[in-house]
Amino acid sequence: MVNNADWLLNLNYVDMLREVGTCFSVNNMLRAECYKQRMEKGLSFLEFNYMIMQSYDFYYLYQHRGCNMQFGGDDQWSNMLGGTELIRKKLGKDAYAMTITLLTDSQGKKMGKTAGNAVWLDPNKTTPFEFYQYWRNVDDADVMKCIRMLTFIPIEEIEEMEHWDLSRINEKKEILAFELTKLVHGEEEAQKAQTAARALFTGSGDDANMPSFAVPETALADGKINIVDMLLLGGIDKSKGKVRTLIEQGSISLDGERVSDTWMNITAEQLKAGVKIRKGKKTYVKFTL
Amino acid sequence: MKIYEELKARGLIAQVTDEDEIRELINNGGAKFYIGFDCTADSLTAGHFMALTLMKRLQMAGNKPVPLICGGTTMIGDPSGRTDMRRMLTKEDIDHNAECFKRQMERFIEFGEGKAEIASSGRWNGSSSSARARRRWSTTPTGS
Repeated sequence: MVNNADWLLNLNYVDMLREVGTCFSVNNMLRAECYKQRMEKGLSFLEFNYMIMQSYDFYYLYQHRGCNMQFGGDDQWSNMLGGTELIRKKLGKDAYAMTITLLTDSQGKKMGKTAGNAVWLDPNKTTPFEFYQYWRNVDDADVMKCIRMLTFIPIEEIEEMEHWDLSRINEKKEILAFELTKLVHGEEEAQKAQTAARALFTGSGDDANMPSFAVPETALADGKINIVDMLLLGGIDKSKGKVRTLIEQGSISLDGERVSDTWMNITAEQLKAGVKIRKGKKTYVKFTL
Repeated sequence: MKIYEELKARGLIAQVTDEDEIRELINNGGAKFYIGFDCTADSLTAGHFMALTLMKRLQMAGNKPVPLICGGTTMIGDPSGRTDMRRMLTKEDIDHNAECFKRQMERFIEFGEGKAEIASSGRWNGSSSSARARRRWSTTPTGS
């Protein structure tokens, strides 16, 4: 592993300009996609130098590490070409570049984000369960693409899966979610996440990995609590009105059964055993005492 | 199926500079390649994950990965695909992020003899990381 801080931060400005500045045509640079987009709104000189820095990395790594190839996201294409050009001009050698397809969903939106937030690999920022659920809930149209691009399942097996009956779509999603969670968090965590996710759908099994909320005893009256009060307490939504709307829309399930009655009470006995609440498609909370 | 054909079959290839040369190079384990990761946050994301799996695929085909942590270029900020300038991060933030990236990456890419390159210069004295690095990927990267 290398860090370009080690060779970039101590560069001397004038030396740098003389060494590589002569190899870049500003006219060509301005034609690059990433800069073209900024012609209207403005482009700082700081950012304009990004391409030169990234090109310099390739030039440096070619010479000092023997790197003959660079890979990157497709939005990096012009920066990567900058590097191969620089190597050609300075050293008269060939170096190569390949960009990888950006992972987008069937609507063309970049994947790996939920409601604007990134899906992180750090288990403290995105738990293995949340990570699993993200992939478990991808759209039907995107499952096979994700399996192809992200898992290590052999191509022949993937091609077979393409022919599976439509009814096996959830099986495919489970495979995707399990494989990716295993790669990122290890097999044990993947197993736990899968068990917890399955428990949510069937209302049984091990739910130890589900986010949970303990209802304080003081919130109970006569050994029970109204469902709306409980959901509000557990942060399912911000106001009683909103929680009621969720119930009326049929967005709340309790142990796998849709809740329709906003006057429903939950007893202390139920809470002792643990009550699994599902909101919409993806949010799960276990309420306990 | 060789690695170039596999990458193609998986729909991973967007653009290449020289198709024939690259096919020859990576199919014969002749590439020593790098991918840069800008340290704009304190964790890698699902988006980086695809780049990490690509590194692993190429490594399994005998090519040599050099993961590049971009502690330097993040000081500038990549304008690609953005309509406005990024918030400038402090050197301390970037160093912290770089350290987080490094720890996470060690789980994905196998280091050590003939594997991925570790820089012995600069801040990182990365040579002690190989044991932890072997933990995940080296077991069953082919899945179920």
